[in-house]
Amino acid sequence: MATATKTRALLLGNEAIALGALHAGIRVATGYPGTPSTETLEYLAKIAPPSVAVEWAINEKVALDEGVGAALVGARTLVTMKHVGLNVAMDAWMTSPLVGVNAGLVLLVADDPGMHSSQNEQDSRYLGRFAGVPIFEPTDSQECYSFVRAAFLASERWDSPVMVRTTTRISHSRSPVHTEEPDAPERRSFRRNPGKYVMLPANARSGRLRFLERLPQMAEWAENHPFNQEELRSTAVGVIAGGAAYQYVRDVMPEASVLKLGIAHPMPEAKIRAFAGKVDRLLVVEESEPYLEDQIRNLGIPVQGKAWFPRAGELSPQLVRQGLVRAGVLAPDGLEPSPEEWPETVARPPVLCAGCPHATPFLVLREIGAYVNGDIGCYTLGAAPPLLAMDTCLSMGSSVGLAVGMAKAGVRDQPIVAAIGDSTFLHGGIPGLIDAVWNDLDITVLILDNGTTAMTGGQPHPGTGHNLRAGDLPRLDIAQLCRTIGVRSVVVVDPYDVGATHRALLAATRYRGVSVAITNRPCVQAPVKLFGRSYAVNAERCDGCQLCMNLGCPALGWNLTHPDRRIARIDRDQCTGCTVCAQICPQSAIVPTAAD
Amino acid sequence: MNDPAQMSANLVVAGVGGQGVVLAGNIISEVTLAYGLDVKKAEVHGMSQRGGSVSAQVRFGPEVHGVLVEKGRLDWIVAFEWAEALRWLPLLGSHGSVFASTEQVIPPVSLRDRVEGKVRYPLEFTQHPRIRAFDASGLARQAGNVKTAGVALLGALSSALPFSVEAWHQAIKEWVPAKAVEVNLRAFDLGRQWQSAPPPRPVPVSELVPRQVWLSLEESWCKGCGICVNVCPERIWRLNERNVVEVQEVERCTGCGLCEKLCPDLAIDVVVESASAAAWGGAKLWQPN
Repeated sequence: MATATKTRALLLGNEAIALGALHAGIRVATGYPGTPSTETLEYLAKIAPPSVAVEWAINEKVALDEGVGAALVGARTLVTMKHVGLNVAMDAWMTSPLVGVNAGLVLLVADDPGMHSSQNEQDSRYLGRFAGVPIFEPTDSQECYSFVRAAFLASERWDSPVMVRTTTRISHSRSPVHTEEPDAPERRSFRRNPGKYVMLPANARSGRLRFLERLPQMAEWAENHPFNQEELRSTAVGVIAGGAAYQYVRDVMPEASVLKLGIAHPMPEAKIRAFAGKVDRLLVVEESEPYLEDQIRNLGIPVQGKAWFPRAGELSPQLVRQGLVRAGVLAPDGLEPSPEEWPETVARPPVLCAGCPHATPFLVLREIGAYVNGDIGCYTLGAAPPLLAMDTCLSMGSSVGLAVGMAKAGVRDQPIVAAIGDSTFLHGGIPGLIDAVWNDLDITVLILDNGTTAMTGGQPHPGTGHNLRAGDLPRLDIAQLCRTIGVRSVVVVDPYDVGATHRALLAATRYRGVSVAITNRPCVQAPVKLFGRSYAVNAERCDGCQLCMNLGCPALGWNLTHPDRRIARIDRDQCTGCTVCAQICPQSAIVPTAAD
Repeated sequence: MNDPAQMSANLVVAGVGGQGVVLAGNIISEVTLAYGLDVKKAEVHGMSQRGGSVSAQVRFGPEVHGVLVEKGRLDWIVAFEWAEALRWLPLLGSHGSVFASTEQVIPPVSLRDRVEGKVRYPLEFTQHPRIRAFDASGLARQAGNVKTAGVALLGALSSALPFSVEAWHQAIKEWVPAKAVEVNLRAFDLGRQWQSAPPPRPVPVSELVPRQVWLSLEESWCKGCGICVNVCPERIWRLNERNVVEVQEVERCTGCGLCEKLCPDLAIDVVVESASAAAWGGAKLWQPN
């Protein structure tokens, strides 16, 4: 028996990126939380020495701006965000390759095919190619580590930001990582160069020419880069793949020749042509869009991809096998799942936590009757049964703009509400509110302030008075900010007080003009789990009316042994003692448990 | 038993947000790593962690590529919750087997049928030679903390894998917080000693007697205050254009009688009768006067 000795560290893809960036000698790391990118900065905050600035930014645009600024003064910098976050940063992203970098600037963009936790599944490779920057695409944690280190060198070599693109399966998978000796990059300092750094049209024109001259050189570099690797096996079929898709192909069809593209932009044209010439049949297996496939076909090389592999959703080994079988290059292997008829199970969708302060305002909004524009966060679950209290949800901060648009379109039959969390409001909701005040519109903005960025696991924001590592910082007062913007009706209410929340939202929605209502209970999960005295159902009094069940609280269930009706039951371990169900119970059947 | 340094297998650890699924997957991965094996593990983060299904897929062997387990190639399911064990069965290979906790966490979505009170959840425990269901929470309580149920399940799993107890203990020490190491090691050892489970007892569920509901409204007494609209748990009342309430989707009425009790104008009548099963048609009667 082998002896149990440990030689490698088991890291999440995001952690490996953080470690790779640290070993590349970064001095600044910033970003905005977003699944599946979040753990990168959180891990860096734990492992980096205090000399490395690791802090969240207010949104992705500001994060990228900070990254460019830090890189220009000579600090290697990592910026992290999810795919839709890059949309927010697009303005800076598209011009940053013209400005260039002084020290390396690497952008981690984590895509979410299958939308495990996102509102779309856009393919960020297009945005890297659009900006004309190198894109590195790792296939496991080891490559996350080494690719990010190489990305810093590439950034400095090409005087351009570099994208490291991952997907959920790469960012949120753990595998062993061997580390190497850290870099100690020479310290660079800022040299004034307005012709390059100030994007006046005249300067941007020359920047654009420099950028276009660079592209063919970059393509040459990609041709010979060791991250693009030809693995020649059977010549009957050749597969071009990168990212998670590469790994599935290796599992499902180990005999296939593979051209593994670790660099998704620029594409190594000659290498692809050579590979195509060596195999009888050329396929592309890629997740999401036909990004590689379209470009290869444009080279005049016969290739197939999306004809066999789905464009929607996340790839899996099953889907890759099915596609290869349908394409006629792989025989079905007969390894079918066990033939038993297994019993059915039940769907378990995510729900608002027991004691979540977002439940009451949605219950109230549903009673009042309003057009409710929701936003991105845990509270988007207010759209799901039983609350069913949300009409729209588009993107970060969009709720306010959608409400403004509805008001401009002349909707009058019901109040118009934007329901937005604190972090999302600060990220992208403020300009919409300014617009509403500026145009004197009749909307209500409900700010669900739980003092954290809850959906992604409880990250700080400017309203919390601290950041990832720094504490005791200036604390943004959201109510005061709204008043400063010019909102005359601002009310702060405790969402655990059902009556007060009802009165506050009724008054706010009846107010003529822009009104803001802020609920102010902290998240029950973050930063620490909050528990009060738990409540219980008095079985004598409960008549099974089910009103409490409309909260959707996971601590509330049924007493399945009652002979006559389904009366309510509270799971004592889950109940946080928020009292909301006790307040709405018409029979006063929900009562505090005896103190322990 | 297999040579541990040559063994390859695909596992899924399944449970509900907050049960320690991700941690258990890390412990298994760490053990395999100690034997010089390659290992890949997929985790679930983000929205699902809000009370949704959570899983960790672990694949290990001399060389592992993808992180996801292919259908028909799953060797072990380690489930911290009963319904979550069943969720992964369709992926199970023909020789695969299951260690499942009899813990049942019934989600709110299972309790939607308020009229008949049916629970959409697999309450009965499936008896199957390849499903080993046992009271992991009981073992965890015996160890000293109910939160160690997952590690007790790992103990049971460990009896089927060729890795040493020391390697498991070492991995547990590495991944659980220092102050919880002792209790987790106790839970692991109790789980490892597990041989055969006592026959699991499902939750007893009462069969509800069907009831017939008569719901009527004296329209001339309704002044349109909307109290019934707001209090009805099934949200079946609405105010019409004449500012008088009317019922929509009467079949959702459970006969709770809240509207009748709270109507300030005594305009609503809710009569609940226990009817014989033969007379029970399932529909509610609704008549405005």
